[in-house]
Amino acid sequence: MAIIVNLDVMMAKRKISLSELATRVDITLANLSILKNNKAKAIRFSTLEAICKALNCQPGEILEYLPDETE
Amino acid sequence: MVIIGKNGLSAVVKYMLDLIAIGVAVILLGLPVLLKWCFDAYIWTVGENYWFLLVFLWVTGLLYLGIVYELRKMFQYLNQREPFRRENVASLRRIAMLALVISGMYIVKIAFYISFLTIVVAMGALLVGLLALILAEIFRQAIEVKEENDLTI
Repeated sequence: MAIIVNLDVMMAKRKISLSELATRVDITLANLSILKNNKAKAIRFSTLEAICKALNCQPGEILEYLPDETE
Repeated sequence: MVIIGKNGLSAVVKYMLDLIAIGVAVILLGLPVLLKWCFDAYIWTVGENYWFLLVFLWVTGLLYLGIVYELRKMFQYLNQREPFRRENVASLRRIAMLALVISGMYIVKIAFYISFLTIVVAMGALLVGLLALILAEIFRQAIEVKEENDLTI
């Protein structure tokens, strides 16, 4: 996938654990893990908004675009 | 009424399928004797060939058992509340294939020994096969949508 979720980097900067973030964003730990491990196919704006609010950051700091290597 | 789950209609249907599977297996095992008895006692076998009918009913019976087995598997997943699995698409495709083969065999049989019941079974099996084929495609699309939905956080 060309879009990469750098959630762990931001979480390390803010020194916040996965379970704590899950509570603050109000999503399940399982879903947050899917997001963190780049297995998600899409993210709702409401979820992104809640994560940005909890981590006090911009979407661009969490999401990154990498061109596919195959081309 | 509860439809899906361990206490629902789907569980009852699964037990019915178990009974049908046992019943069909018993009939298939006792077919030579049963058929002999039918030939002696009934009129509907007039004009039919004993060995042809025996082999024919055995083969179609086994195919029918295959359909019951696949249906049973699907209902097991349904009872676990996991109806949208890729295995179900494969099961439905196999059911379609088995039903179409049964239908084809009965249509061929019409050419040799025509009877009203043969036509009814052939048409029924044909409908089941085509319906299963369409259901398989619907299930495949539903699984795609569900995966997309599950992976949207």
